[in-house]
Amino acid sequence: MEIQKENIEHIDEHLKKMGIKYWDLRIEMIDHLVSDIEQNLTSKDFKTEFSLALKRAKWNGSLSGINTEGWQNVNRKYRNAYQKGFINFFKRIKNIVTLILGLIAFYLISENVSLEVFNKISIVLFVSPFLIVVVEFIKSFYKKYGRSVNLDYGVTDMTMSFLILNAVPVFFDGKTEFTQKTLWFILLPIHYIAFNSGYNLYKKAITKIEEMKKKLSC
Amino acid sequence: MGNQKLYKGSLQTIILKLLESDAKMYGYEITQKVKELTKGGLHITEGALYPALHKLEADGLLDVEVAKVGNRLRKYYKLTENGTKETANKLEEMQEFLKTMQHLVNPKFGLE
Repeated sequence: MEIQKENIEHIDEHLKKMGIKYWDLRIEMIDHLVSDIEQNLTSKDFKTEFSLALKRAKWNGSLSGINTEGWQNVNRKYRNAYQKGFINFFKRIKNIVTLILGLIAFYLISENVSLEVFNKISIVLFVSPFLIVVVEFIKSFYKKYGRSVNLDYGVTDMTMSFLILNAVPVFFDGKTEFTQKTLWFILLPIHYIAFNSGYNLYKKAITKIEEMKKKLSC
Repeated sequence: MGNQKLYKGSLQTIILKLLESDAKMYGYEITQKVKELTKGGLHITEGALYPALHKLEADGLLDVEVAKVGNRLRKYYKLTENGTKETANKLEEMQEFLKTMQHLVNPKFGLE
């Protein structure tokens, strides 16, 4: 008995119904079940064989625990890569030079404008990477990637520096001019380097998803 | 089987060892290979295998390659550079452990 495309869709729907929310977590389980059916075939009835394969894998109940374990592992993988990306930024001369030039430009601005204007410029610089996030959101919305664990963590990492650092400038109020400027000089490079790491991860996640989608469709 | 609990702590080493011998393997293939090598003595449950594979991947010891097989996608696992180094370490640890156990369980007969 050859496992047909409809059979695969049936397995996919079943796993989804039983708690595996992300399609990129389901692909491995589908392959396991289909391989098992092909290996242990006894009848010509797909549903009977599928039910037996589920029992053999002990996947015949709720699968939400596997789903949770799956996204936790993906989360760990992305978090490790995020930290590595942050550290690796400093390993490239080009990045260091860009960072120094950026800081010099920022210093020249700080010396030639009032504190009020400097704060406004700093806020604009802080928020500006979010434009990239918006563009990527729109692009991924139209590409219809489905519920993907890789996409979820790619997006989380891309927006991570905003989520963590957005409240920090609130505490700058009332501080001396020197302190406020110094804090912006610390905050902005951290934000940009972290955003760079998250954005690179997001792009990798999208490439991975598109590769899988392409392979599935051909 | 009662001795399954004894194998539980060695699952990662077993996976790494298998991947050291074969260039790349997929989940179901690993379960079958273990069954074959142990003549049915060890059955790796799916509930233990996949989390272990994902953990090794998250730790950077395994790399994943996706290929289309029939009407579905298949995830192949292979060792990374770090994974190869870690396999040697884990196997060494395992040898030490086995020696110690041998001394404890059957002091008269060593593995050497």
